[in-house]
Amino acid sequence: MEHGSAVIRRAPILALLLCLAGAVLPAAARADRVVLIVNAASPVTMLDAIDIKRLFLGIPVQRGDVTLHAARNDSDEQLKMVFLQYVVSMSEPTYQRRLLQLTLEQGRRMPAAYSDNSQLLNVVGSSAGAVSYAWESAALRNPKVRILRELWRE
Amino acid sequence: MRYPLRCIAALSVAALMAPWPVRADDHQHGMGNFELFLSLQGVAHDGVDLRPARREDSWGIADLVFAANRGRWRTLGEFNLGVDEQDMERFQVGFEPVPDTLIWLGRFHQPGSAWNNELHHGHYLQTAITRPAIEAWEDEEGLVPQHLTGTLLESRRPLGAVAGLQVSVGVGYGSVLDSDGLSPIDLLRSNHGGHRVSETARISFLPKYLGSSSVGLLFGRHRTPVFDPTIGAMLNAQVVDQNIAGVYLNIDRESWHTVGAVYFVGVALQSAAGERHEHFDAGYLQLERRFTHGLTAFVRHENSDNATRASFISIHADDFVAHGTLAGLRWDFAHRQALTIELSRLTTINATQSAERIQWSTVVP
Repeated sequence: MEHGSAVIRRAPILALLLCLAGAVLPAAARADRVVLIVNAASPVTMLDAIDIKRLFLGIPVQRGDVTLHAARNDSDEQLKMVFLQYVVSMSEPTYQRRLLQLTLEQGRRMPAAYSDNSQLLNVVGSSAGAVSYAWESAALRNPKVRILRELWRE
Repeated sequence: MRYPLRCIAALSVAALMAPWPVRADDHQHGMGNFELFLSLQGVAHDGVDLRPARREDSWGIADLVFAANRGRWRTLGEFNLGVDEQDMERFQVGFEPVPDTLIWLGRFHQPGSAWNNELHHGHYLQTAITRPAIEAWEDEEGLVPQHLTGTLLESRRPLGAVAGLQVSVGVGYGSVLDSDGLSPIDLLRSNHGGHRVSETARISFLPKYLGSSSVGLLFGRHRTPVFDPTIGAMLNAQVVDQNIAGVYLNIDRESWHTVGAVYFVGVALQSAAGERHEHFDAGYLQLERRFTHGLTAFVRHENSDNATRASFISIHADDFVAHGTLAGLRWDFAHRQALTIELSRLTTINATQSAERIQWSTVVP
């Protein structure tokens, strides 16, 4: 009870400190972005929304001699939400159903899904044709992956 | 080779072709895909069951779909394992010369079917437990040959900024009419021979090029030799020609799904004495509404015109549903697992029957 009262008394001070920190720190430190990533050595310089959607439906996209293929980043719920809303524009059940349909119709291979972010970055970093998405802060820490474009900003 | 051994051999080929990507994390470098559709169901009828032993009434069905891709080459197979039947439903080898254009060789589902070409044999993808009578498989007293062995061309092209046009043309050997009903070329057992070429096609408009919705036209021409002497005598025909034209829609929104089709079927019964003509129409409309908590309600109405007067139906498929309605509820209670109940009241050429069905369906991995 005593502890709770102390927190309530200090709340306005904490709020003021957070506001000051927000004004002083650079924008990148305040808000992360979800970015599309490829292998650092990938020949890809641009992918439009249709090509990105094709990849995440399991339909390969050719760039020169490299066949691109997608990997899903399921390492956190917000990434999943951004992917469904901004990349494939479908709910999870609709997306899963569409993947199954394409497998049944054309034998398309479903994109691999990774629940471990560092494993996903390693896969993209080791496969010339891999395309995925990640938080910008995590992607910048891995020199084997390259950021292609922004998908969503916090 | 004995039949069970052939089944094992077929499954072995399937297993070899797919590297079993049970977890997605493990298959980033694999070239194959493997999906196992499983379903268990129970059915209760009022009175005597007048319908033939349909696959959808079998208590358990396993449908194995395997695919392997290497560069522009594709291999796709579907093996159906039921209590009453085991069959290699599809086995196709394809080549993709340009993106979104595939040329397949092998046994495939004819593109002139609105339902089967989308849902194939996997029950999990099919919201209702049963399929419309006009879409029934050959061994369920189906009226239209659904499996062809030959060549299938599928091509999808952009139309404007977001829409698309899809054309599918299938040419191949169709079915013969024997004591088992329509019998397509069997990939695992010996065949009668004498199958004749069928031509089928579908032209679809896709509101979104990469979406699942489409509306379009369906065409089919099937020549079916009659090998069963009893049916031949009753039909007074050695060959049954079917010319089919149809329209369909398959509209998929987040909360709503609508699938429907109408087929206009002209039948020519050919004998040494000449040719007799008859025709019938058949169609269905299924509405599905998705709710929260994984619940989907559905209702379907089937109807036909002139079916009771077509001798081809009364002799070959007297349990064909002339009209009827069903409704049900599906609950996707876990990842890739669903429970479905379905209540139906259908009128065949001979009788009216009510049925209650329950089904558990899943797809693994």
